[in-house]
Order: sequence, then C-alpha cells, then structure tokens
Amino acid sequence: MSEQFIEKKLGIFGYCVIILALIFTLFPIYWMISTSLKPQVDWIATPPVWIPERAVIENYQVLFMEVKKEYGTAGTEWIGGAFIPASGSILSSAITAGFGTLFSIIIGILAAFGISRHKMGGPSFPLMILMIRMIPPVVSIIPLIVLYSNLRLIDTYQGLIIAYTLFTAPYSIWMIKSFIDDVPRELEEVGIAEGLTQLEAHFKITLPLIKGGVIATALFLLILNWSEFLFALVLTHGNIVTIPVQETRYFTYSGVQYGPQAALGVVAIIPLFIFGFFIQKYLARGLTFGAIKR
Amino acid sequence: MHAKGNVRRRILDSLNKPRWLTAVLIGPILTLFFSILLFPFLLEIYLSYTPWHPRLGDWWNAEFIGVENYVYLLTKDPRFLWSLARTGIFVIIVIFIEFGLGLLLATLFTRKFRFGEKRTIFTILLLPMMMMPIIVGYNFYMIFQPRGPLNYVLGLIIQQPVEINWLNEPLLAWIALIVTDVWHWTPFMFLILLSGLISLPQNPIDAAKVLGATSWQIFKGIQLPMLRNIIIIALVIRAMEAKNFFDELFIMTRGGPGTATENISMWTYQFGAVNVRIGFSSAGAIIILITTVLIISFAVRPIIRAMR
Repeated sequence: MSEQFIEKKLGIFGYCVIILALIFTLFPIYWMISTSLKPQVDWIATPPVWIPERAVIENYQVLFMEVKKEYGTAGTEWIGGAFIPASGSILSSAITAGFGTLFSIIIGILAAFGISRHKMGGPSFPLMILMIRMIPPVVSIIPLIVLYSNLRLIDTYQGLIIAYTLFTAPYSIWMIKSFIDDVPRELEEVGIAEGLTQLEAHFKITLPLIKGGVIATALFLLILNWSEFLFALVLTHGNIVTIPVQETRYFTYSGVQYGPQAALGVVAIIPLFIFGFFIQKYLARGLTFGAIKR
Repeated sequence: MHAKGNVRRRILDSLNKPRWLTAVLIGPILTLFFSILLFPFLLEIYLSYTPWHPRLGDWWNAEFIGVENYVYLLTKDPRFLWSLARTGIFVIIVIFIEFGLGLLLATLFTRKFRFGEKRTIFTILLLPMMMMPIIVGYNFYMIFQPRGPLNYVLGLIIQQPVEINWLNEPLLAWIALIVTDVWHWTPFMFLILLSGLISLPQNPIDAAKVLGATSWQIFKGIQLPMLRNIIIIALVIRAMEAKNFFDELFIMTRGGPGTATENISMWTYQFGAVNVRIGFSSAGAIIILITTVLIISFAVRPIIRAMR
C-alpha cells in the first residue's frame, strides 16, 4: 500500500469522524433549543418531534411571568402552580457571578503581582493556591454549611459571593500571573528609576499592558461562576435562587417541565457562548491555569 | 557557592519589599484562604470526631467519640466505599475516552482540510465546554428518556420499538453519565492537545519527512513524545475535575437507581446537606480529602515540572 493511498483513506476517515463529531456536538444543543419552542404535548412524544412545527413562545413567556398561585389560569395550569419566575434567578445569578468575578479579579491581580514580581509567600505559595481548586468542593461544603449558619450567611448574596471569590481565585491568580510573567520586568525598573513607587510601577506600567488578558480572565471566571451549582444549591434555601438551582425546580410533582427548563437553558447559555467566543484563544490558558499559553 | 548566593539575594529581596506591600498584595487572598478554607477545614476535622447534628445544639458542645465515624465508614459502610470506588473508575474511564477522542480530533485538525471552514468547525466543536453543567445534564436527561430521541433512533435501526430505561438500570445509567461527560469535556482535551500539536517545532518533523518516515511513524516517534508534558497536564486537570462530577449526576440520576451511580460528591451531598449528619459526613469528607491529597501529591509533580 502506498503512502498516498493511506493518505486518501485517512482523508475519508477523517471526514467521517468530523461529521460524526459535529452531529454529536450539536444534537443536544439543538434538542434543547427545539424543546424550548415546543408546546407541552410535543415535549415527550412518540415519535419524537424533530422539528417543532407548532412552535410557541409560551415557554419563554413563563420565565418572565409573575405566576399566579391559583391553578387553572390560562397558560399557567401546566406549569404546576407556584413557581418563582425565572427572571429573579437571572438577576440573582448576575449579581453573584458578577461580584464574585469582580472580587476574584481584584484579589487575583494583587496576588499575581505579589507572586510573579516579588515571589511572596515562598516557592510553594502558588501551589497552595492551586490546592484550593484541587480539593473536592464537597469536602469544603460541610464545614461551610456549619460556619455559614453560625455567621448567618446562608441564603445571602454575601455568602455566595465570598465562596465564589475564593474558589475561582486560583484561576484568576494563575492566569493573571501567566500574563504578568510575559511582561519584561525591565519596563517596571525603568519606571521606578523615573520615580514611580513599586506599586505604581505595577499598576501604571504592567497592568495596562495585560489589560486584554485581565478581561479574558474575567470572562472566563464569569463563565465558571454563572454555571456554578453545588455551592448555590447547599448554601441557599430559596431566598436566593441562581439559574442552575432554578433549573432543578422544573422537576415538579406533575412531571418534568421540559419546555420552561429548556427555555431557561437557552437564555442562560447565550451569554456563555458569547463570552466563550470572545475568549476562545485564552480558553486553553485558563483551563490549564496558565500552563499552556496559546 | 550557588546556594549561598541565592540566600543572600533572597535576603536582599526581602529587605527591598516592605511589609505593607506584602499585606496589600497577598493579604486579601490569605485572609480568604484562612477564614473560608483553612478554618472550616479544621472545624471539619473536629466535627468528624463527633456525632454532631444540628438538632444536638451548638457544635462546640458536641460529644467527642474518637475515631468511631472513621471506623464505621471504612469497615462497616460499603455504600461509602463503593462511592469512592465508583468515582475512581468513572474518572479513569472518562479521561481515557476523552483523551482518545480529543487526540483523534486534534490530529485530524493539524491536517489539510479539503472541506468546510476549519475555523467554524473548531468553534462549534468547542461549544460543549462553555455549556452550563446543569443544562448539559438536562439535555442528556431528555435524550435518554425511554420515549426520547435516542431510543427512537435505535428503534429505527433495529426496526422495532425500543423502550430502554437508560437512567433506571445501573450499568446503562453509568453509560449515560459517561456519554454525557464525554460530550461535555472531550472539547477540553481536543483544545489542549491541538494547541500542543500546533506549537511543536516543525524542524524534526520536516527532517523525518525528508528521511522518508510515514505519517504514523512521525506521529508515534516524534509528535507524541514531544507532547508528553501537555498530555500530562491535560490528563491531570481533567481527572481533577472529573472526580468532582456532580451537576449532571444530580439532574440525571441523583445517584440512583438505588445508590448505583452515587459517587463521592453525591454521597457527601446526601449525608452532609440533605440528612445533615454533619459529624458522620465530615469523617467521610476527610477520608475523601486524604485520598485525593495522596493521589494529587503524585499527580501534581509532573504538572509542576511541565509548567516550569
């Protein structure tokens, strides 16, 4: 068999693999979008409704509707009564994810300068930070439940934001550190020679140079925080409901509310896809804590 | 001589950096670390030696029962030990499937494309990684329903109705969960391995081509060995995340049927957050932590070496 023949075979094989990968990747997303447009009778049907011909926007309306307590109101009877409208959960998610990201980025910038420029905390300090991410979150939730109940932080924005800040800090510190490492120290030394203090040199010289990286890091953390489920589940009791927790409420006694669930899913992933698209070239760096730089 | 020079330089460095600077730069993360992670962790160790439950009053008055919780968990509680074992097996299976598929796709992407827009396909293939895990769980929950699209397609293939209850049979439920995780995180492997493959120096590969090596020989003899560090990073990070598998599990099976798909995350959630047997579940969590730390201390070493 000649090399050329193998190449040709490989080409056909590769073509098939990529087509299959695309179908496998896109089908669940397509199914969610199509379910979000189906009326209740089509959610689970035999044969399955592949293309929603009787498309409705009811599932989306329900998300933003003040649901009345009484049953039988037109358009609400099928959602099983008293739901918290999902618009509240979108706001809650935006607040927790937004502030969690903001604080994590501030802490990340400070600590990254300390580690990258001053080797603060010694050589094992960066590893200690990495450990925050490596220990299973379930290990930290039990004492957090106890501590938070004593401090009355359960079911508060502050409680969730503090947890999000700490548990995304390893990503922000390592990622921003990798950006700082790319900027030559000499630039800061020039600034210091011209009379800037150490801190001013960090913030006036290096920080503007890594602005793009910091924004990418922030978007990356937003994706993580926006999607976070475990802490949001155990550290709240219904006062603050983030999107992932709201999703679990569509398992009702009268069955799974596939339509509204899928509609909220579509709404929730739109920002994720947009952010993800913008930071595509930084994704590898973020997910590997800055180890892979392209 | 060298070491001495290092020490001297470090002393000089520390003189140059005022204490307030240290406080400003790493103070915030240290404060958070000690108050929200280290202190709770010490609290957890303490609680694990008690039978404490919120009904029993304040935790600082809890009765001390020594290692009873640990002994029970490690010798009389197969449910806990099984959850540990399932987690380990799940991690190994998913990281190898994801690695295999990711490597396959990455190698295909380094070749010339005779069809389609490479950039667009790349973007589409990365989409799952950005999805919210809960929503991924829901999507596959729908797909694996007895009257869902998967069974229907299978029915078309074998020409008779298929009514497999995927999420209600232990083995099938595991397959469903593995497929879900593979869907969600193969793009991660693909992305990391592709960026690794692209950044490899081209000279050795060209040289081998000139010498008449086949593409398989180049791949096995040159590209894979040069990718070693990146492969290790990808596997370790993926394993670290896969052991925390929870969100999709929560939606799709909640550890069921029975406890057949219960992993360490679900076990801790059940006993710590649902039954609030804080003392008991703390002991479980400490065992989980020790196991993880032992594994990490082996796994992290290559990643650190690779990062330097």
